[in-house]
Amino acid sequence: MYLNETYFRYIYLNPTPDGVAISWELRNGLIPYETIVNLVIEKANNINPEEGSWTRLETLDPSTVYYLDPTPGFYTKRLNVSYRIGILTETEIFYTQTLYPLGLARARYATAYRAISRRLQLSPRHAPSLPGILLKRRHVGISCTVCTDADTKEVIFSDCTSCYGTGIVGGYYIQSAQPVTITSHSPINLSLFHDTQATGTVNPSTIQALIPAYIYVDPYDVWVCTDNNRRFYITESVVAAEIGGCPLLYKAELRLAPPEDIIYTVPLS
Amino acid sequence: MSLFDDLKNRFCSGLLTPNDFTAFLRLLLTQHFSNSEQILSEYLKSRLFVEDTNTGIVIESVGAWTPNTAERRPAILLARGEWKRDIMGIGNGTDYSTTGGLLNYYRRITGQHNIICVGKTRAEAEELGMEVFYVLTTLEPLIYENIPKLMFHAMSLSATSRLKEYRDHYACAVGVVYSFTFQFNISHTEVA
Repeated sequence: MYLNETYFRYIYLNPTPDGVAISWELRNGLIPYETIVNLVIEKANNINPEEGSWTRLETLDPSTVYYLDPTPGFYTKRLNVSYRIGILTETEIFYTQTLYPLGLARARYATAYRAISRRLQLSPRHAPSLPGILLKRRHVGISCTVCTDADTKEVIFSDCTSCYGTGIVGGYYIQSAQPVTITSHSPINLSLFHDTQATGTVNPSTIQALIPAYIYVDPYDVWVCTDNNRRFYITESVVAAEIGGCPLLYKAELRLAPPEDIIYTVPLS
Repeated sequence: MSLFDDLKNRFCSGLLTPNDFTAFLRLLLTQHFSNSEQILSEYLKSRLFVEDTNTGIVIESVGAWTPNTAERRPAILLARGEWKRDIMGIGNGTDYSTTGGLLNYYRRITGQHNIICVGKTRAEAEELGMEVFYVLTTLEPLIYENIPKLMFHAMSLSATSRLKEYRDHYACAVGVVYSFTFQFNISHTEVA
């Protein structure tokens, strides 16, 4: 996991059963979002790559935040591959530092990480696992001019159909919606509650859940249960377990959006 | 029948209760939010109030049980604050006139309501709070003209605070203060 890279807010490279999952989000500022033409994912089959040894895996739209390398190579004690992400503008290309799955964690940690992570993604006993899709909320992009105050950047009209109340056009990284199975630790309570002091009739449908940390989960991302299209705002997420600085598991609080909420108009593909 | 005719009927037909003031505020605000031309904020013009579940904005007493619009935001929620009696000068509220041979008394009550404006974002809650604050502040002369027995003032707009609702909503409260006087006398009835 790489935090506060020069051009990225975070980059995650996690070995999963399906390949190496790479997720990231651009940072606001150094390279204006409007000037970015493409992102490129490059890979080298060793951990000390020279300039000529990089192979381009994919050229992606700048609004992409997730890529799965399905052919990472053979696992030994560790995965001996390197990646880098390039930001392609009309005139230049800006590369990240060399990136390694699990950030070159010690071999023992890497093996344990893979084993525990795999177990978490399989259905654990005695707790209901719910299949779903994670919609990552955009923090970078073109500011919405329909609902946002131009100077303060605050969203004043929360049901905006251009940004879905996020302040950034598009609202969520829909093309990069990722399958994420959560393990719910509390049943969803759909009973109404009447607070006669401040909030009137409310429907506090909150669940506590565990989310495998092979992607970065931010507060206010949205998790969509694919069984019934219920959409939940993730209102809290904290790392519950890690190995060698690599998050294994998030403990999250999810709250169900009522059916008339703007989030139900976000397309899933 | 105009809005103020409705209000006069309610206010002049008996002893005033906190519910009367909640109804009074709800009538004023539902009337205001029913017509986009009246709404001052550009961002709120599409939040039109209608008296069913398709409403663009919920305007309700905080005590109303509203399962069909539960937690729907933005919302304006009307909550009663403290009522207290004002101590009146010489005579402790005794008017030295009489009606039918009985001495008249009067009392003045000052009450307070909080109008809680809830938005899905902080700025939306503030925009709603400002709309309500400005509307009530500017309506004061009209209220006094139509219901002279009522002194009514929109006094404050609170800071915005976070509510732990489904999307982390925000709320600010407009404080309104009103006072009214009523007169009464006491007749003694012999109990057999």
